[in-house]
Amino acid sequence: MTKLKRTALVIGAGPGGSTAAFYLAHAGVDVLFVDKETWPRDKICGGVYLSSLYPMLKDMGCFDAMYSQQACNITTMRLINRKEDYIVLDVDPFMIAPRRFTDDQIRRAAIREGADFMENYEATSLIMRKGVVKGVHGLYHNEPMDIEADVTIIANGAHSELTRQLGAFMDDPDMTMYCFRAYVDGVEGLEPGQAEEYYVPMGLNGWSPICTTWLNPHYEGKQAVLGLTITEKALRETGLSSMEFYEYWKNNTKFGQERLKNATLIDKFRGWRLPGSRKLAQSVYPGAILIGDAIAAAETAFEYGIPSAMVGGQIAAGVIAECAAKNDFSFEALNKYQPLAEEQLNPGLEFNGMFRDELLNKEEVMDDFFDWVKKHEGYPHLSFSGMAMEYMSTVLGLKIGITENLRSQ
Amino acid sequence: MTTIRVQREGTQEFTLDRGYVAKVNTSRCINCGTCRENCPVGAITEAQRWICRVCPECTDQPVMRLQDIDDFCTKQSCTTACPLGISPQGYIGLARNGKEDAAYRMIWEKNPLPAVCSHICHHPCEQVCKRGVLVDDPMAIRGIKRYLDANVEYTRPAYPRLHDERIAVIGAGPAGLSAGHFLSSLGYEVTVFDANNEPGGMLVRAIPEFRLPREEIRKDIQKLAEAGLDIQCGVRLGKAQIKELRDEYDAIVVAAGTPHGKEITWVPKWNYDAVYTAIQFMDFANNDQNTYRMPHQNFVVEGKEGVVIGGGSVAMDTARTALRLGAKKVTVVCLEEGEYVPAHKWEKDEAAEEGVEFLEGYSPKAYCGRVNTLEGIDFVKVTDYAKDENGKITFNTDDSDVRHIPTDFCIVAIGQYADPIYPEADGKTVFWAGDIAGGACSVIDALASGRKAAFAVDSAIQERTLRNAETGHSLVAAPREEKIYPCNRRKILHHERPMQEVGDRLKNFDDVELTYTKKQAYQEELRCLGCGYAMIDTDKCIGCGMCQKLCPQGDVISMVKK
Repeated sequence: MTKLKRTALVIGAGPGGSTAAFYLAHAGVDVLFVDKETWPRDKICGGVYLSSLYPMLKDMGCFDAMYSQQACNITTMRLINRKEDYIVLDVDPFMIAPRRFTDDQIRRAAIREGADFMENYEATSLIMRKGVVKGVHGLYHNEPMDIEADVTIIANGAHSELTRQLGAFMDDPDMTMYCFRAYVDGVEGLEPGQAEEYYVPMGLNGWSPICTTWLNPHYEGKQAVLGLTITEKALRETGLSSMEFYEYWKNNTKFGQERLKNATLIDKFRGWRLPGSRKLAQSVYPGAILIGDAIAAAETAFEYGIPSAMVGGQIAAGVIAECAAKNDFSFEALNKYQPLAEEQLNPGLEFNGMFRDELLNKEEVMDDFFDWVKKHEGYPHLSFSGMAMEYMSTVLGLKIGITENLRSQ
Repeated sequence: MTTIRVQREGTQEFTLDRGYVAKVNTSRCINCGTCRENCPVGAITEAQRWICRVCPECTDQPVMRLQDIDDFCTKQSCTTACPLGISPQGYIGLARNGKEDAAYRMIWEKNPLPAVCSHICHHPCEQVCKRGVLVDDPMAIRGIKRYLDANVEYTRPAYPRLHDERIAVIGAGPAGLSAGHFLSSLGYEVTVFDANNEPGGMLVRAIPEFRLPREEIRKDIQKLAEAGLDIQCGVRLGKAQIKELRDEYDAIVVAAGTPHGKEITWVPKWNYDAVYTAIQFMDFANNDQNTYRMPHQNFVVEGKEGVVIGGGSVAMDTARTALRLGAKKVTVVCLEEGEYVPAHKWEKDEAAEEGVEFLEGYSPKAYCGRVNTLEGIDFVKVTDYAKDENGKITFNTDDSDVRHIPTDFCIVAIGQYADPIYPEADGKTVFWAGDIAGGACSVIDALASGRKAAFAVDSAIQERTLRNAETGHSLVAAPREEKIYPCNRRKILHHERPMQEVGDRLKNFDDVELTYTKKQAYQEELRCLGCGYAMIDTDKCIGCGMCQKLCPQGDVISMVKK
């Protein structure tokens, strides 16, 4: 018996990796999932779980714990544009929950299902034989240890070295975002169950590319999750630091002043880089499937980060379970993942990308959208994404290749 | 009647009679048990002398009723109290007579991790030491063992290879190493697998260095490896691999332990950043590094105040470790009160000496703080505390008595749990040993559990029961003429275990306990009352002379014409 040889190896035990491990274990595949952290660990994130994930979380048996104990349920969203005008829109309900807790619940679900888990293992590079990924070299408690596997799911996030090694690293300056998060106490004026998103006016250098600030009520009273999302382009063109964006919003906008009048930061701002893409890139390589942030299948405009990773993980697990049953781990067999994942993920990614390009990044169009929403008969009966879709297709005349499924949101 | 009846197939019954019988010089016998264990007919038992406790003022201890003294004297001895069946009286006696090599041999032959045990064994032998109960203070048995460990070199003989069967042991903690050692000694081909990079299990991960220096563990394991024990580290086994192992090996011993700390999930906000499990915390302290990438998650205790929830040995270790890492104040909070606190008394005393504060009889009610930032914990008074024989704890709380302790971090030391992936023990090919088999246990219990599993494996494979499979044996009362009168004994001062100065202790992770000097050890050895000796049942003795030949003391047993 060689040391550490598994059928399937999942790198990363975040929502994507844990979901993949859960469904692989569910299908009876011999799976090991590894993570570089000591668990439970926090993740700098808005912590939004869309309701489209609820069935999957129920499958895993961790929905109740997440929903009842730690989550704040959001049903409406207030959007504030650069003129300090606002609209309130229904959203498909989603929950905001601290990642330290929720990710841990999903990981435990995978372990309960029979997946083998190893923490403090940092995958440093891929074992490549004849161009095929055969496992990973890594460090376990800072000592070298290799793990071999027939197939490797790479789900270790936006800064993955493994993805770089495969040449799949995504770094589109238009889509790459820098996000910052802090918890604040004493926020005033927040409605329960209502998240707020501010499109920050940067009067400094005229018009600036997108910077949004969001304020999501947290599960404890007046506390809230405060975040900033700034494109790399905005940082570069304005020459401002991330904190200057925040200070500007806090001091120079009506809502910023009102909300944070008596507020205190509970801890420091912490940030992460969030790669985005307009459509799913090639995610399958010989012997490996990339899911989630590792292949930049994420978008912030509609909180499409965790869902994309989890859906990707579920599909990858299904494909690998089939491969394992036939004991065929060829590229062709694994590549069945690509069309399946594209079908599921691309509509959301494309729509989000288009929303960003055509609406968020154009000040005049954004203002027009606000006016349109207010005038629109039936407001606020359609949801946020529904209104945006309607506006983009009828007013802007864009062709949106979206499934009925998403439209009905 | 010095005869034995022998009947072989196809022959008539005949009797063996050499015409001799063994006789023990009771004043020389040190009760090491060698003859008892090796007697082919089981004619030797351990006799316990009666120790007088009738008159007041003769010793420090109060008088007892005769019946109580009788019961106490034959109930337990240091030898029967040892889970591995090692005779402290034996090695103390040998060491006193200058045979230190032979004394230490008695320990390492039966104990796969003698150096580890000489540091952290919770010494059940000292708790039943008759000197402690009936005269003054118990013998410092572990201290003497530690002196021997520090002064005697030994080499384990290579393991024999007698059987073709191959056995896999999962986990190289105390139980796994013990199972591996005893199986190898029985002549099997054994492989011990461990998921960590370093063997030792909880010895390496959870026990703080100030109680057990790392070189002691390495020394013991090195000796086992040199004798031929195959330990493979860094091999993590999942369900499928265990299945493979079961095909590949004739039996597996699961000694994977309980590597995960339990959490207080019934109190809201239990998952705040600064709430760690004891295992995570000790792992961090022992590996001397923060394993979290995000600075706000790191184990930062320097200059902070903390709370440890739990009252066991692990809680004491974590509290003392936190103080050494620079914590300003550490409070241990536990459900139990007074004598019911599960930690050993000396552990609690040492912790209190170092400045750990205690709040006994309280249960956590609420974590206070804002998002992810712990600011304090509310505790409520426990009432009607009860523990049934299965170890299940029941209690009520008195909500009017609430204590708030402001704290920056909280360490939860309320027990551990095992991975659920291992096959159930079936007594044929799968055996369990150590923590995973029977809840949390101490090092010596884990070693005994591994030993038991090893003999169970042998029993299942060879369909036999070896005579030394069980370590326990019964005691008999010695005749009246062997009585011990404490007032006759020279009063020798008990040397308290030498310890580092409290002020020095908190500055570093050096072993808090020191080793006896030769003189101190000798004086301590002299204190042994010698309650036990080997008693020969002349009805059973066949006069073979085995006991005389094996006696490490030499001139104790003589063969006399019957």
